[in-house]
Amino acid sequence: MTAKDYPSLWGFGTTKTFKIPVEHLDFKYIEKCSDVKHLEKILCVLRSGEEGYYPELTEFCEKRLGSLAPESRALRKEKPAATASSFTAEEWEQIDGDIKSWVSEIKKEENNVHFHETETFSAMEDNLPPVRGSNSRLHVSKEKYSKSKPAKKKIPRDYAEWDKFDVEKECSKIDEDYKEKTIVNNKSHLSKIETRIDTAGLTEKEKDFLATHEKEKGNEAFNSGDYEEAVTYYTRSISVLPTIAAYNNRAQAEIKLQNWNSAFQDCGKVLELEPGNLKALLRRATTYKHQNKLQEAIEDLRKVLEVEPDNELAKKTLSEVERDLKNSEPASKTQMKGKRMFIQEVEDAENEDGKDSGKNPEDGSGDKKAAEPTGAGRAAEPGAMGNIQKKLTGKSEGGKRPERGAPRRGRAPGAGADKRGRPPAPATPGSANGHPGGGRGAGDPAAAAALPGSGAPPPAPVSPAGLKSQGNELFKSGQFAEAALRYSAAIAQLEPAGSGSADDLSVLYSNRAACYLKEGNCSGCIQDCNRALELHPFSIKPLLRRAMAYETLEQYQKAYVDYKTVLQIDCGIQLANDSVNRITRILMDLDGPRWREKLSPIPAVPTAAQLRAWQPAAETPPDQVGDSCSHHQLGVTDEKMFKALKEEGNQCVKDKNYKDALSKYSECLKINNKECAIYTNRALCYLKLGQFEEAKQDCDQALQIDNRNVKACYRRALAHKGLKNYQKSLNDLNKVLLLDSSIVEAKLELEEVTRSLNIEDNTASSSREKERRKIEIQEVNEGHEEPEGTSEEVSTDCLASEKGLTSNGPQEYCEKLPITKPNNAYEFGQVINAISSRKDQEACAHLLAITEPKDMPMLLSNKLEGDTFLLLIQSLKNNLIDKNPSLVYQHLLHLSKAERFKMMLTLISKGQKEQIEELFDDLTDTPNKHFTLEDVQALKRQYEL
Amino acid sequence: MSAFEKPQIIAHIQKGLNYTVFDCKWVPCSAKFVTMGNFARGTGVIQLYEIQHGDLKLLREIEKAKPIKCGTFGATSLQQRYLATGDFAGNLHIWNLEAPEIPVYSVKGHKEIINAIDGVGGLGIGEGAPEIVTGSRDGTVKVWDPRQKDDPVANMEPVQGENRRDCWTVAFGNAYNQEERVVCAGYDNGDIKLFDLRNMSLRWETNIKNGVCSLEFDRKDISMNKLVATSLEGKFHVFDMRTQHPTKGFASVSEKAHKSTVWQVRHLPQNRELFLTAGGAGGLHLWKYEYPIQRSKKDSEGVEMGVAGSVSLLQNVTLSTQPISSLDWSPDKRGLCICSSFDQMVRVLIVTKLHKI
Repeated sequence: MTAKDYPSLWGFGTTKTFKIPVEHLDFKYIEKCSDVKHLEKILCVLRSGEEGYYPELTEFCEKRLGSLAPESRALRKEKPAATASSFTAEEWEQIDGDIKSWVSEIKKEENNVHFHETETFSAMEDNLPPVRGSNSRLHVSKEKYSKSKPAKKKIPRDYAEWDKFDVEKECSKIDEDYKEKTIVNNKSHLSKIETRIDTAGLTEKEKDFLATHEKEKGNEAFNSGDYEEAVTYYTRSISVLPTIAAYNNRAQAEIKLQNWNSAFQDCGKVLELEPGNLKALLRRATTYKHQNKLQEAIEDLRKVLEVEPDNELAKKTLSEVERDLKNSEPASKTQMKGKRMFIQEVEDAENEDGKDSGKNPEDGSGDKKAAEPTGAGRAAEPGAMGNIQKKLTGKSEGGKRPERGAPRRGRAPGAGADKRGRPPAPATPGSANGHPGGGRGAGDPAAAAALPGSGAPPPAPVSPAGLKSQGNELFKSGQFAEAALRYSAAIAQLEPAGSGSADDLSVLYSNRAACYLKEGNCSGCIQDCNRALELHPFSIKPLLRRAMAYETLEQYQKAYVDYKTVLQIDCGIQLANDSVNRITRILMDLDGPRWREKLSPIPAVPTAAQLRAWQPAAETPPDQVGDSCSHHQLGVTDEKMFKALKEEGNQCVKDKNYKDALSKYSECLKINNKECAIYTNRALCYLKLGQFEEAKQDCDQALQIDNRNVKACYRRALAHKGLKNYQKSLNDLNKVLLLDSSIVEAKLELEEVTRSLNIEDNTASSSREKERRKIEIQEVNEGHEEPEGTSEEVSTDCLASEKGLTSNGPQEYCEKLPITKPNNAYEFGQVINAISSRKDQEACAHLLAITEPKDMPMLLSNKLEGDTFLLLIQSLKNNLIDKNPSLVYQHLLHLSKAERFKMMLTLISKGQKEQIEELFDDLTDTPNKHFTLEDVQALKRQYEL
Repeated sequence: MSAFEKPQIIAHIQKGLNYTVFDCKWVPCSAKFVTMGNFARGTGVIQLYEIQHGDLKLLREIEKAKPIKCGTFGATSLQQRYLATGDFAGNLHIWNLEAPEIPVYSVKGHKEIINAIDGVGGLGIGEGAPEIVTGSRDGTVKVWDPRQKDDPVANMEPVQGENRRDCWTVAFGNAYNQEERVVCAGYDNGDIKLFDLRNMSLRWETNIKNGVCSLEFDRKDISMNKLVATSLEGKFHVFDMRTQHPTKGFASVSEKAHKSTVWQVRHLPQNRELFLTAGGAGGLHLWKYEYPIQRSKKDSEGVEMGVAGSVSLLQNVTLSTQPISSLDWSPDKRGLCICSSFDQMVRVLIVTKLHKI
């Protein structure tokens, strides 16, 4: 029984198809209804005519739906194709004419193409890649994992491997071989696109076609936001046939990527080809604007507006540029006024330099030279300090400082170009006060009073600490000038105290530097940072601030050195990392590929400073709002930090900078030591640096986390190989191939290692023979009555007997030691000493037989030594393995848990290691239900075999 | 009815034919096109037409033994302009249209009809060697190099013993450098398989539940960007091919376009975001794909996955009552298009205002 049988329940009943109440088919209802789905249904019912034919209601419903959802599928109607009559005569003429002219044009061109037909064809052939490997087959099946391996020519992976494929792991690894990378990386293809097209043998027509085609690809990439890809395709287009449009478009894409310089060059090319190209002028204006060449930008924009007075973009840009220019003008006015002051300042600065050097010994710190080689370059600094520019990217808020004091002089890209022309000194009130403030505090109160920005008179003398906290408060609220004032006052009070309050002073200087930096008083900032650093070498904040100031002053080399120094202290500082990258680019642009040679040396940071950076500094100056100096202090989550570090590490590896990568990864592990990938990555670095032991340990760690990690396994194999443990290397490689049989490198390595192993085996056996012979000779020389039984015996206890012989100790085999079960470490020690002095393996075996294996660590306590250990191993090997393999296994297992075990392992010689290995081999050969092969393997790993 | 903002689809020239036409293709760098089909007497035919003074002029008619199902110029140079065709008997031929008596290249490629053909590496589209891919009812997809006689350079076939699905459509893509290249194949059961020719591996597969009638990458010669797959029941799917998720594959958006089978999809050569679909009821739909703000995002495990955009209908027209069997944009003139339909008609269409989108 459905509702349909009781229409009365529903009022007038419902429609057949969607069961819509009939009263919904109503003007009023439809007018109010805003449910698009419902309206679509109503429309469907109305159109079908099953409830009657209501053309007006249908139309009304369509309109209503159209207003709510113009894209609705219900509104799509079948329409006939348009014809000439659908257009006005004018429009049609245009469309028709367009086609007609194209047809005649293409016919002409077609004839041209065919003249060249035969001549150029061979050249084309030569460019082609060879025929694909013949008859490579790929079998396709629905159950893709349950089928035999297809006969393929190149098979990096088959279906079954896709199943095992763990992308996350794969992602986190840095693949040495990029081609093996199967993860689709959005950007990875970019590097693989050729930037040039070989046009040999192409006709002009074809070149034109190609160039247009590549340009269109560029346009599409541009439209979908892939600017880098767009640049690549425009470059390709240009390589075929340089066109104005391609250059112009590439300029636009470069602008989007903020590559101002390249964009500028492209605009230049266009304007060479076609002077007065409006787009190029506009775009060049944009690059000028961002490179802070405001005058030039204005010129270009005016040119555009001359031709096209209504160009909105040009107008907008012009007004922006003019505003920027105005903002910088007041500064230049003050510069004019303040000219006298500025001269003073230069003198000040010079004096100060003198003072600084004179003061140095007084301070008793004495390490200034060592700590700050950069100081050497500082003499030139007053000369160039006026060269403040907007930061190149304009990204950081530092780019827009309304109260910025120095004029923008963009013309000379190189720092110091203005040096000769009495550079405009920072003429802000801040800096005016900064210098006396820095000037040993004598003129400080006066300077504070002179500060026009601060309305309030300087407060009554407060304690330096109070002043500092006031300053911090002011800083936080953004009143940088006043904050600087407080700091200055505090400095003035502390200054006489001298080196006793060096730490506090350093913090104060550093804080004041932050204020100056905020104000745009870069030279003041630099001076304060210098002082802070004198008092407290290698503290991060002043270094960072100085670096920022240098960068703002366009003294990129110095900034670079400072950032690098910061990174040496704490490589996790994102700001510094970013800045270094940015500056590297700039320097490369400025100085070309040999830019590094122009750098002053980067000071080596003592490890003490590095360590200090790890403990969140107690003397943390006030943290600024926008100034993300240090990750630790700002409490950025560990996870983010971890990721950042990892990324950096990976980047370093890509750059083949393994040392840096190593430290990055190590830091990562400090944050999270459960990440398999970090261990494997670090292992890679160790491998590259030839530190095989460390690499092996990292791989061990990784394998502990994830037992099936192919990379870790493979890298451990490499490490083993490096350590010449070929057998282990072999084992690991086998394991790798077991996990993933398609890894070609592993196969290659396997072959190599097997070869090395054979060689070593040969040499080992021959050396053993030598040894054996030698012993025999010795024995003959010693003239012992005790004749050696078989040579086999000799070979096995060669070491023991050798020791015994060389020590000339009496060999008392006959006298049996009375051995009882030891109850504590002392008793055990007594017994084992007695045994080891006689090298009595039988007695030792007896001891081992009566001792509980699990007590061994306790009994050995911290007395496990190479000799004892070896004796134990030998007795296990010669006397116990045949009788009771499970006991041997137990002993080995528990021995590995004894104190000093790891340490001892590192001390024993290779020959001794071989003995252990032989024991393990024996153990493997005697199957037993008490332990499995895997157990033995695991134990072997414990023994680092 | 004037001053449209939307693009208009104009049926510029129509011509009735005396045979069933399966495929039509523009001859590159010309105002000519070829039609391929099947005479009632069971033979195959290729006709070469040229647009002259607003009408079509038949330049050449070539009759061959077997009905011709499909053809492509994709693997030929602009200078040669050889047509590669697949016929009902499974033969792949390459014809010089100037001297069509003997094929330039001929191979019995498949046991049954070749349903689809595509070419890459010619016409300046796609880096690397010129190659032709054919898909057949015998379930195999084979890649041919015109420089190698008799044998395919790659063969994608089902395992022995498994039932063979009818391959309906094939498409080249990802040919952005000399090494990379993929072939995408669609089957009658809705399977779409993406074969990586560099690695000779199956890179991805999915099933869209209904037979796959037509597949096309938005461009063959860029790093895979988008793939459109049309299906038997009137839907089409647009896959964003830039970001492959290990388990979820490629993100896609689907749209119910026609009330009947979508036989063909063709991207505008001058703008990859525009494409035309041809429906079983004689309708043409012009679509535009719009990218999402972010084309990829991280899933809950931090693995990159694609985000599909949206498609919007720009224009639709109904040309005939019979299915439109093939569709081809002129590579040289934006907005010029030909289509053939089962009412034995070939039409030259003009789509206006495409440059404004």
